[in-house]
Amino acid sequence: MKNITILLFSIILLFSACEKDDLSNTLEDVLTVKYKNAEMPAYIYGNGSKKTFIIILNGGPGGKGLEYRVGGVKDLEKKYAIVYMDQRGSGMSTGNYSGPEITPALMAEDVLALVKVLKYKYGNDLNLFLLGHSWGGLLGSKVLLTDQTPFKGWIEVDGGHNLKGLYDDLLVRFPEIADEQIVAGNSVDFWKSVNSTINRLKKDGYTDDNGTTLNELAYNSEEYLRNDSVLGDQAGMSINLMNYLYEESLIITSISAITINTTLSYIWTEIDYTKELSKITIPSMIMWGKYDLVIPYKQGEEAYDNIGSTKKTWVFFESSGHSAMMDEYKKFEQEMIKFIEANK
Amino acid sequence: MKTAIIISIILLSFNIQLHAQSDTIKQQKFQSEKLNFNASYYGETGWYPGLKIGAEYIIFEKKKQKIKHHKKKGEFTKTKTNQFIITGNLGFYWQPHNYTSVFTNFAILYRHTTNKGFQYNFGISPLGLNSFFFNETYTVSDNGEVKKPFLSARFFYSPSIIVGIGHTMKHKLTAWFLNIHLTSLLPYNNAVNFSAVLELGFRFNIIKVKK
Repeated sequence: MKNITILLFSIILLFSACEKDDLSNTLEDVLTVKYKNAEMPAYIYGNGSKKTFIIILNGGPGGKGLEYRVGGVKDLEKKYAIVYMDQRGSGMSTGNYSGPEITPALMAEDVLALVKVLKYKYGNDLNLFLLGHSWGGLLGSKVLLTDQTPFKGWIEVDGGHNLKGLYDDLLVRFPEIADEQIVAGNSVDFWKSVNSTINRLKKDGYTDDNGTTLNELAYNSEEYLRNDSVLGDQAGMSINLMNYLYEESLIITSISAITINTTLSYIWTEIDYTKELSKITIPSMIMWGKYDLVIPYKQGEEAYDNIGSTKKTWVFFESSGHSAMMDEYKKFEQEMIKFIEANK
Repeated sequence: MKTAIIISIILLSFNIQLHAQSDTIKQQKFQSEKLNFNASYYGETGWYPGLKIGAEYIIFEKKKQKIKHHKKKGEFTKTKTNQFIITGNLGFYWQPHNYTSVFTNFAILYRHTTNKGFQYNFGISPLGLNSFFFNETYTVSDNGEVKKPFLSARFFYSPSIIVGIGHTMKHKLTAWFLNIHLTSLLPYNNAVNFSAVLELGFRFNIIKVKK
């Protein structure tokens, strides 16, 4: 009998020891938010002890939350809890709804549903920050226009609050960088071909195909800029390829990406929140890469000028393309810490 | 949801039918040869682990025999077998971060067996049900109320196609096999999605026949 008691006590002790402390400094939680016919996973990693959580809104549409668990974002896990969310229709999200139901407004509601779940699980006294990259910049803007009260701060990184005006902005920015690189003697043939392509696209005007061509050209250009050491060195950046391959199903996430990207293709010609940005009054930090050819920094300046907050910061990355959190990950981390510590 | 339950009942009842045995020894032997079971590793994307068990019944079989002459071996017979098989399966796989998938399906297979025992499988599964049971889930209602349900699941109609290879074995384990399943998940968000599965397992015969 005595042995049985000791055994039972040991088992209870063992399970108690395994029980996760909800706000430890090493959070590794995965939870699913079920809202309006969708199940959306949120992966929460990092230091929860200070109750400061940063919700990451990925690019795309169709990117994955965990794609951002690299570079400067992952390094922030040492100090804060990072919430990598798979948006409706993206990553490992599941659901059953029609295409027209998916709008930035509904996806903004999804993010606010996540906020409610985080407060339910970890407490109402959380310091919440919202970070949107690329398409996530547009979605984050919509979240804040819907309800900004839960957040202590907004960080837009190479975001797209005005995708409607993007095509014309790119037709101006591409030749500027191409001419700069030709003068510097970097990959001259490539940049001359870029100028030719832009001249052709200027004549053709916007079509879906031309938009895709520009987007592909932007990522291609970043490769040339990186090879010519114009962009920052990503060596030493924290990355775990095995985790990336294992954490989410490659097949499911890839097919979802294609589907949601097609479903939301209208955003490239219809969405412009510029006039509404004045309603955003929480502390904001706008971060942009000088060589961003996916969404040029003119859009960042536009966001900075129009946001209604009295506490706003402009951070320019001289050696970054579309992803400053990777190209200049150390500077990104420092600026993030500075902003969060000042506003939490 | 109702459709999902109906499909489940049909599939399960079909599996039960496969287990039915006749009374006579002759029939038992006949059934013993035609009824096999299988158990396998069932890995979604290859590495998300799972297990599958199933039963299969040969509904049509044709053997082609040719007598061959060899200088050293002499006269021998070459046999090629073509079979059509119906199969019912039940299993699960585990996507560690997100959900546990439980599935059942009914498939029709064509199997070709060479004289040396190599097998090629091709099949379609028109009836399949896949259910994702999510890990820690929180439901948020339209009015913003948060609840943590005990269980949260989503069901998919999941027809699939199957291709594979195998080889016969000369004991209770009648064959090993390696199959690839391409399974669709319907409806998935606002469209469809797919999962690819690598299956590695054995077929076996557990019915003892009195002589």
